[in-house]
Amino acid sequence: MNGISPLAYVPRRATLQSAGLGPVALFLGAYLLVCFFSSDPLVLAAATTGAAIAGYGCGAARAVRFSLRLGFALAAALIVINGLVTSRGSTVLLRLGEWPILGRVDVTLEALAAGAVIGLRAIGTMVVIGVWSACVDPDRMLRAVSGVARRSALTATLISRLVPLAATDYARLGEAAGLRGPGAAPVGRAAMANRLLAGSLDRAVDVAATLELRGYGQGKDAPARDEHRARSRFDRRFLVAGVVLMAAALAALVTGTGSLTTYPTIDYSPGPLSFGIAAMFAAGGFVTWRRGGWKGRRGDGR
Amino acid sequence: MALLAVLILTGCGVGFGAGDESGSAGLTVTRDYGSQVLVDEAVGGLGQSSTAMRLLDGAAEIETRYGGGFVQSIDGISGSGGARSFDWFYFVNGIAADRGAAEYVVAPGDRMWWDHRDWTDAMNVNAVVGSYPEPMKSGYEGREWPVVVQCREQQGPACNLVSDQLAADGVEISTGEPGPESMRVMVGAWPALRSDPVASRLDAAPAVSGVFARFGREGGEGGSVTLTGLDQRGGAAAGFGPATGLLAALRTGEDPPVWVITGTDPDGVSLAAAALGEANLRHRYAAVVFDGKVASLPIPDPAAGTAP
Repeated sequence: MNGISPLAYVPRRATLQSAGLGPVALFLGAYLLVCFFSSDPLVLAAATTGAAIAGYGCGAARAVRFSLRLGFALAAALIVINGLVTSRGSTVLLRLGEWPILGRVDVTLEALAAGAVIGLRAIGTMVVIGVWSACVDPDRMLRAVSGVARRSALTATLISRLVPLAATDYARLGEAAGLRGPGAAPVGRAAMANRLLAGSLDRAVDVAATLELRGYGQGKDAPARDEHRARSRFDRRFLVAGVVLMAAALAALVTGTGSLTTYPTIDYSPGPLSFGIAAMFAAGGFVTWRRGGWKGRRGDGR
Repeated sequence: MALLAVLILTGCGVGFGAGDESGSAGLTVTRDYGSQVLVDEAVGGLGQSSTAMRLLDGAAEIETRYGGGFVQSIDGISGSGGARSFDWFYFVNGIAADRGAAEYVVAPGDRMWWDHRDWTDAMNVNAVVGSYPEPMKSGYEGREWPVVVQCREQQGPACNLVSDQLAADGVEISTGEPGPESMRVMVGAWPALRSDPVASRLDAAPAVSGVFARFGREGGEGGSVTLTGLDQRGGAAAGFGPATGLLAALRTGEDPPVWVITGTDPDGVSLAAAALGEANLRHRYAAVVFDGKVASLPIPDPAAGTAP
């Protein structure tokens, strides 16, 4: 698996990969909705956990770990940045004096907490997108939405294919540079980026030519849906789970339950509804699991 | 080197916690143009990071909006929209603050005044008299304006009264012509003051002047000068005849405020001058003086009600 992006789609006979796009979109969409819009740290943490469990359940452990690493790095940056640029909040931890542009900088506990909540959102969002990217076939996605937004679907699919390829190219170029021996001059990032860009442009020309050969330029409609695909036995499972979780997500957002107030002082009092919704999202991750696991079974799992 | 770095950083205000605690500031919380006082106390232990928000948070239960930059509610009294708009506004030494409370660093001696009011008809009240003797003593955010008393003709006694009272309250009075950075205290009957570009704003509605009073003439041009007190909706609420005084503060943009101690006639000016003092002006946006009484402007309107 080395050299392949952790976020690249890998066909498996696991549940998410086998189920229809609609139920999967509903299921993961509920997680995404909560991660985007909720301010409740408990629900956010539960949704992140649930999404990670879902990823592990369908063989996307690498994608989950990669997304978590990226998410935590982004969250740390958000906490630091919010701590520096927002001097609101009553509990001053550190005075950093007057800074150019920023003015007076006071690092407060409340600003760090607000940054942590934004960071938690980022982590959750990245895990959900990582699981989607690793478990949902981009070709199926293209077929499903091509009737509605043909060009956007094509663009999204190409990106989902070409970005992992670019990552692979980067790894191979790095290996090639390392093989030149210890005496060789180090290869800077600019030179690597230059080669990567040149390779990407070459590939873009190839892709454009292939698309033209396949008739994309003539405006022929691709099948609007994955019409010939048989229903998966997991469809109902994800449909039910998706409806329940989406309802819970909307309830959490509408009622604003357990919302965290950070300024001027931290105020957080999660109620029973908050705990209930968090439990649903954490447990919802196990919907992707099945007895015996996915290992050893690659390919179509209908 | 490490010691030098610590000393430099400490000198730049760098350190742990809110900083050294010294000095105190006044904190007043009122509603309806100062008519109801909710909090009125001196808050000690000001640190280098004591903002208006932190000072208020230490004395009352507050809720904020827009990322913590806007005070939405104090002790359960919150801003509201609808047909009439109510919100919290704050003044520093009688000057409407030009930034969010989380950004204003309170200096020792500052008088912070929060007021929950109906701003539908007068959003911009840039200066008030209720923090007297501020801003004459300390100015605003380190800007101290030299105070010049400007007397109109035939107002010698009233002028002397004002000067003496200011001096007694610790205000240093500058002599000579006022400059662009001077804070003027104008003393004189209204007909003599209204030619001044700043004072003439009293002829306009409260939305422009920020003062809920308007001078007029009984019986048209040539008649005696009258004063009409307005309610918070800008409607006429009380009429005052001869021998009525007015104390009001005006401010244009970033200019120093201008205080107007005036009246319908010389007797009114004398009354206004005699009323200059902390006890008479406290918690008032502007004050009208008549029959030996001092009343607040705007005139409270029971029908207008208050915010929920």
